[in-house]
Amino acid sequence: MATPNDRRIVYGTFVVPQIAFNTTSTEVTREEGSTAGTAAYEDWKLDTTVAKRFGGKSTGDHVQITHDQAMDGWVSFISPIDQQWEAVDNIWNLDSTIWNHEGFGITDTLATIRSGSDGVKFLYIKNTGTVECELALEGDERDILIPSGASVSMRTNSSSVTSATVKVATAASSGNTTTIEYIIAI
Amino acid sequence: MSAGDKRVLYKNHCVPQEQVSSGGRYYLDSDCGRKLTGSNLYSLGSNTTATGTVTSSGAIGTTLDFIAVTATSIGSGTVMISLDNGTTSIIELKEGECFASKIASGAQPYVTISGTASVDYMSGT
Repeated sequence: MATPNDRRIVYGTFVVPQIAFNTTSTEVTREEGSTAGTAAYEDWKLDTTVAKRFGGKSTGDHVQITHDQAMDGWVSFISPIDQQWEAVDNIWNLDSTIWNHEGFGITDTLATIRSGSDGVKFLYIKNTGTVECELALEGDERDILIPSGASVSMRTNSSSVTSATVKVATAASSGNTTTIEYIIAI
Repeated sequence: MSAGDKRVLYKNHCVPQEQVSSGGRYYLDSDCGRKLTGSNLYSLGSNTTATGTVTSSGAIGTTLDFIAVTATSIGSGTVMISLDNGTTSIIELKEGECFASKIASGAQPYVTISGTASVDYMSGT
């Protein structure tokens, strides 16, 4: 397929700090002994220390990435058009193909996802497994933690973060494994 | 839970897009095929949170478990984040963008501002 004229990534982040508090009871006992109103219970509200939500989103040109990513492995998905048609024996009008979530298995040993020395302009990683994932962007320092179901997205500094410096693992020497979905865009 | 406990709900989304021809509209990138998102409700328990605003380069805390950093305004220059006390900037924020993540307690988040900018942050310890 032809390489598109341009590629970009729109991204956003949303953060709500919360604190638990005891509600005020509105419960009363009526003359005949029955109760009305709501007893006190614990609930969550906006953290009074931070006192605001955090978040943001890209605007304008968003994150401009190279239009020719040079390889399909810049994302962890396989488009139906990536399949070799001559290797498919299914009857086309009876076959339903979708983008497959290939995923990427990781172990407790730091491993690169995409090889090469190209500067990375945008990075998205979601932990689709059940064990916490650790991400290193410089050296082997596992500074960014991605719990199960969580993701990180960032405009990376392409002068210092290259494909080869993006490494993932589970906790060192834990023997654990997990899976991720990702975008590593140069 | 008990009164005073804290937690952080955070979500990160992205939508890869491609433009077929010059001047045309952008479509969902066909290499990916969908919008992507992930979320987490991170419990801080009885630990503390903090918030602040910085207008010059500096650390935003030590032994933190969670950070959210937003470039609220950039007059000139760049806003970068490092997790090794300023040695290697790994994340760039344009105006209005935010980075939020759980981090290792050994990470040393540091904001580098070259130029004029205002950056809001919150942290959980």
